[in-house]
Formats: sequence, structure tokens, C-alpha cells
Amino acid sequence: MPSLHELQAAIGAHLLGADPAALAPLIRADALPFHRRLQVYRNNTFGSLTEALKDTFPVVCCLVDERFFRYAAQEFIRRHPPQAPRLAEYGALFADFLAGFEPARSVAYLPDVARLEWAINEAYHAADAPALDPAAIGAVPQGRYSGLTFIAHPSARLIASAFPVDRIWQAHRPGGDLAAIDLSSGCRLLVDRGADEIRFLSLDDPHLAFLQALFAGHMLQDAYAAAAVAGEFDLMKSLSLHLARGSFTSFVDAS
Amino acid sequence: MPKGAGIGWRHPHYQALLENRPDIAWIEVHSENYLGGGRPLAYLEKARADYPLSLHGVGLSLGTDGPLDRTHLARIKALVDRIEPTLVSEHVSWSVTGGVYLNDLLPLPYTEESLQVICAHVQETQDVLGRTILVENPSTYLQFTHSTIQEWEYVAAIVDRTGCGLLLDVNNVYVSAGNHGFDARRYLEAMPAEAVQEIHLAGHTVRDLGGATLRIDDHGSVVCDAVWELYASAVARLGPVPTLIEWDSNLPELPVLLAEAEKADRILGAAREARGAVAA
Repeated sequence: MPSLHELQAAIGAHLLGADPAALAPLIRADALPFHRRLQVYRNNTFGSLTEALKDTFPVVCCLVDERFFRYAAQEFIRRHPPQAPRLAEYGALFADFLAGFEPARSVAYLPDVARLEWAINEAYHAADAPALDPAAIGAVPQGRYSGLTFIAHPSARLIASAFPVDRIWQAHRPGGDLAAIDLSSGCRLLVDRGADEIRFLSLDDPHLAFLQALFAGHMLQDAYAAAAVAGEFDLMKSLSLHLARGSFTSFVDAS
Repeated sequence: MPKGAGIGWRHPHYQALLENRPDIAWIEVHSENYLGGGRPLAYLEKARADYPLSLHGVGLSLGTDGPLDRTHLARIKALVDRIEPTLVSEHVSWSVTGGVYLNDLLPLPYTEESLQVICAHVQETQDVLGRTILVENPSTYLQFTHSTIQEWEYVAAIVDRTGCGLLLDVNNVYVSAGNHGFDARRYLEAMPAEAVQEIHLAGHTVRDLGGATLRIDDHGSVVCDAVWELYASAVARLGPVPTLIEWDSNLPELPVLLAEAEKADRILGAAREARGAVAA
């Protein structure tokens, strides 16, 4: 008789792919062979996790068709089963998995579309947080601006891709047209959650470099320097844009 | 909790429920969908303002050998403290082994060893949350050769040893009874009546597997006639109990769920009248 621990380890291993033979003597025999009974649980595990991935990556699913998505999802689940009982957090590694998944190679933009959908998923589930009050910045003497650091809104994510993943994603909304998209241009995006829905803000290279530096906790002067290296950049215009959008929740006077 | 019918509230019906505010007694959600905050929690708080709420967990894995996932339990506690639900429930099953979450309610061997494990976990959950929880009887598709306790005795023993309440899933009783050839009514009669604080009803599918049939609890259709009959006999014995219509796959439009809830309400009403007649 196996201990509870041994039994659960054996069932877990089988549900993710191991041969069920060792379980045969543990399951009551009748008209239905033991492995057909276990199959119900395997189907539940793979079926429900595939559905969870489909909910998080609907555009990836559309781009490759449902059958291929199921095949890719099955491989992913086997290699990276969830580590926590919270499906909204399942799929962080899916984009990297797709990048290395040989059968998906022909759709070069697929991993980046998955990255965008993961960013959207994280933005949707991120905690609420009040936006930084622009008046609080107004109260800081201008001479100290250069030493400020900013805390990004919990929903804010940056995406950079060699493909127009924002337009590919939008083409899958009602009325969208994938055929009309020029796939040769890339995109840089700030993805976040506004008052009610997910928003995209298109960025140029300097603006992306600026936000990457700020989100990494660098001081305003260093973020500005990173932006200026990448090209022409209007610091005050960008800063007021983000204060108006609520991209930050607070700042620290680090100087 | 009002002794009427409620519905399981899922993502595709977020807007429809909030916009139409249908006349149902209460709602239930899966706790795990609201642990991160963000939009889902904002929706839940809106609904909470209008409906009594039950938090139904699917991830604590009460039956897993070894320590409970305390990180997960702490997140459940934070949600319970914030939402202040009327009921909190979990399952007589397991879903985690070796740190992997298998996302299914897996069957336990009904042994003294597993009974001690699950009772300790129910106790710990109740201690951390500072309240009693309900545990739900499972749907199962296999039985272990080393089980020594009948499922209905096992479920009753958890209630007896921990003081927890019971979420009686009548569809699960029907499904398991069919799959293992035991008498569903006998199971119902073995349930400690005073502990039953909630009933679940859902649809299941019947699959023909070459000579043998298996009933599979997929929450993807209307409640079948045989389960309605079983439900009527359960509430005739127990009296009116808060009853939930669960629907998780092939989700129809909200009115279909509401019609199922109305059907449950009529049966609850009949049970209430019968009780009144007896009392008079």
C-alpha cells in the first residue's frame, strides 16, 4: 500500500506524461480499464490548462488556428506545468517557449504577439494604485528634478518588437483586417491599464529608452541621458504626458 | 446566506450581471480569480455591494500530503478579509504534488492517513481565516483499492472532526454514484443534515467508453432530471438550503443560468411550504 505522498507523486507524474503501469494495482478494476479512468483526469488537466492559455493568448490562438495551438499548449504544459494555483499567473514562459518551438518557426512574430498578450494579462490583473498627483511634482523645486526617481504604475509594461504586434493584436478585434498590415515595421509600446481598460501608447526609440530607465529605478537625469543617446527627446513634454496618463504612482527625491 | 438560489458568476457574465442586476439570492465566485487585484477584484467589489457572496476555492489542495501552501492561504485570507463573504468553501480533493498545480480536483484514497491529512488542513485553514469553511464532496472517476472508508463516511468524518460545514454537491453525488455503482440516496442520507450550509447543482456529460459509461462532471449543461429529483429529495430532508447553479464550460447567456436558478427556487419553495405544513 503506497503512502499518500507516494500515491500523489505517481498520479502527478502520470498526468504529465509518465507511464501509468505502476498505478494499475492501486485502482479498482471493473468493466473500464484503469487507464481509461485515469485518462479522464489527464484530459481535465490538459484541457483546462489549454483553455487557460487560450484565454490569456487569444490572438496567438487565432494566428496559428486552434488545432496547432492545442498541440503547442500541450507541449508547453508538459515542459512548464503551473507552479501556483492561480491560472492568471500561468503562461509567463509561453512566449519564450514559442520562440524555441520548431513547428511555430514559420510565424516569426508569434513569440512577440505572445509577449504583448502576456503584458496585457499582467496589466489586467495588476493591483489598483492611485496615480501620482501632478501637484506633488509641482511642489518640488525645479533644481531638484534631475535627482527624482519614479515608481511605475503596477500595470505598466514596455514592449519592443521588430514586428507591428500592436496592429496585429488590434486586427483581431471586431472590424480588424490582418491583411492590411505591413509586417515589416516594428513597434515600441507602453501597455497599461487606464481607468477602465487596457491602453497602448506608441513610443519612439528615445521615449522607450527614457521609460526603460525610469522603470528600472534610474534618476530622471540618467533617464534623460539614455533617451538623448537614442535620439531627439522632449523631456518636459514626455513627463507631463505621463503625469496626465497616470503612468507613475509616486516619486522619490533621491538627490 | 439567504436560503434561495444563486449562480456561479464567471468572467463572460461580469457586465451582464452588473448591468441587469438580476433578482437572484446570492452569487459565488472562484477565489483564485481575484487574488491579484486589478479589474477582476474591482468587478467583484461592485457585485459584492448588491449580492451576498460565497468564495469558492479551487486551489488550496486540502488533500495534498505535506504542508499547506501557506503563501496561497495568506492570499485567500487577504481576499476574505477584504470581501467579507458570507461563505468560504473548498474541496475534498487534491491538486498539487511536488510543487506542480495540476488544475483538477483529484481523488483521494479514503484511508485514515489521508483523513488525518485533510482534517489537519481544514483545521489550519479555519484557524488562519478565523472562521469555519465548508468542504465539498467530490465527483470521482476511479476508486483506490486501498480505500477503507466509504466516501460518505469520509466526508461526514471531516465535518465531525473539524467542525467545518458541508457544501453538498448533489450532481457530484449522482456522478460518483453512477461511476462506482453506489446508491445516491444512501449517500445523501449519510450527510450530517445540520452541517449542510450550501448545495451545488450543475450539469454533467455521460461518455460511452466502449461498453462502460462514465459520468463526467463538466459543469457544461443544464442540470439533468435525475439530479433535480435527487435535489428535491435532499431539500425535503434538509429543508431549504442556499443552492447554487454552477456552469463553467460552454457558458450560455446569463438568462439560461437564471432560469436554472428559478427552477431551484421553485423546489426550495415547495420544501419551505412542506415544512410550514408540518409545523402547522
